[in-house]
Amino acid sequence: MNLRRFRAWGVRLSGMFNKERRDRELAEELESHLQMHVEDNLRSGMTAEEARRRALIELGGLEAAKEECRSRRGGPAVENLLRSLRYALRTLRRDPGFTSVAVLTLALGVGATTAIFSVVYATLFEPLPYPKPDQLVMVWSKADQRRNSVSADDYLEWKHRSKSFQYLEAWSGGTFNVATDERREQVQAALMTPGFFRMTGTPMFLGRDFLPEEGEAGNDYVVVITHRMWSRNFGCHPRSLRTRHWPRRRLSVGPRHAGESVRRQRNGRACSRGGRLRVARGDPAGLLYPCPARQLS
Amino acid sequence: MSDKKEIWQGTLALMVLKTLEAMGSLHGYGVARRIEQTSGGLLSINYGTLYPALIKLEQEGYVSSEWGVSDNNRRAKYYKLTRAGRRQLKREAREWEETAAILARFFAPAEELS
Repeated sequence: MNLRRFRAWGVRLSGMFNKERRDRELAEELESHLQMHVEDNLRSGMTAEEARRRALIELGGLEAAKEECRSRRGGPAVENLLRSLRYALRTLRRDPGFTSVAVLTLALGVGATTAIFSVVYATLFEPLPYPKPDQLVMVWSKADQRRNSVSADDYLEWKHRSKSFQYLEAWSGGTFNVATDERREQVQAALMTPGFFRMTGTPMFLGRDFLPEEGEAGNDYVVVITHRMWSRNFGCHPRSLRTRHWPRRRLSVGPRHAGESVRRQRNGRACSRGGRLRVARGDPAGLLYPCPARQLS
Repeated sequence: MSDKKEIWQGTLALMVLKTLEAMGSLHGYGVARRIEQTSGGLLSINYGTLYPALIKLEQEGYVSSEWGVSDNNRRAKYYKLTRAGRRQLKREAREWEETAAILARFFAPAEELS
């Protein structure tokens, strides 16, 4: 029923256009109605004059009927709306000062709201770039009622006893020096227990994930560089994965997150632009090392 | 003429739909005449009520119209019921019957009320 009413409004709106044709048709329709009535009256034996007079009386005023139909068709509501709109536009044009202030206020309001919401969305609502972000939680220890990082012994104990978590993996931050032919730089890194990528469920972009035994002291000769670092500093070239720069290390490239830009270069030499790696959420480090849990803290 | 009954909008629409169902395709004058005949001359229809009602029904998609030629060779706009109009007629007729039945009970002799 509401749909019908909506449809009727649509028809009424479109009735605003080709108004003249509709008016002509209406006049013709009413005229033919009148004539038919007159003819019927004639047939019942009235004089021509009387027939027409009676028909007109019985039908009510012709113009009034037309007006009634017009208002039903286009609708004064629609016409009033258009008139009000035109009036509003005229007023705005007449007072540019007021108009610009109003527009500016609206623009600022909309802009600020958008900006704030973008930040709120990114920090609170946007899912983490992992296959099952709703199953990932951060586990903290507590010191003086405040969140604190977990000691290695606690972590091992938790992992040993925990039955609620599918995986319980730990990581810690650090910095490492990376030297290429062109330059040396300090890179932010993360040391992590080998199961980390199995936990997040993100596949390596190139190469392979850490093996469990690589988390033991002496076996930690593997490195995963983030896709971001690979793309920014090494031009996404597979040759950069050769371990010449990291003689003892095996290199893999970590998961590529959605929306991450890729910078390609023809030769596999390191790009010499920038130096500092930007730290972004969900991709905090340039280098990821497997690490025995005991060394984390 | 003054003793003829005025009819109100909702019932007029229902009468128009019913008339079109009975007669098939019909012009406005035909509809008016037919309604007057059916009412036994108790109702009179003027343009001021009939055509707005037809326009409304057409806007709502219950009737469709096209130009044609009448019996005595006059150009006239013919209206006919659409499928939605048929459904609407059925629905409104049922509602009307229910209303009438309820009112009838109020005016029935007291002993017939159980």
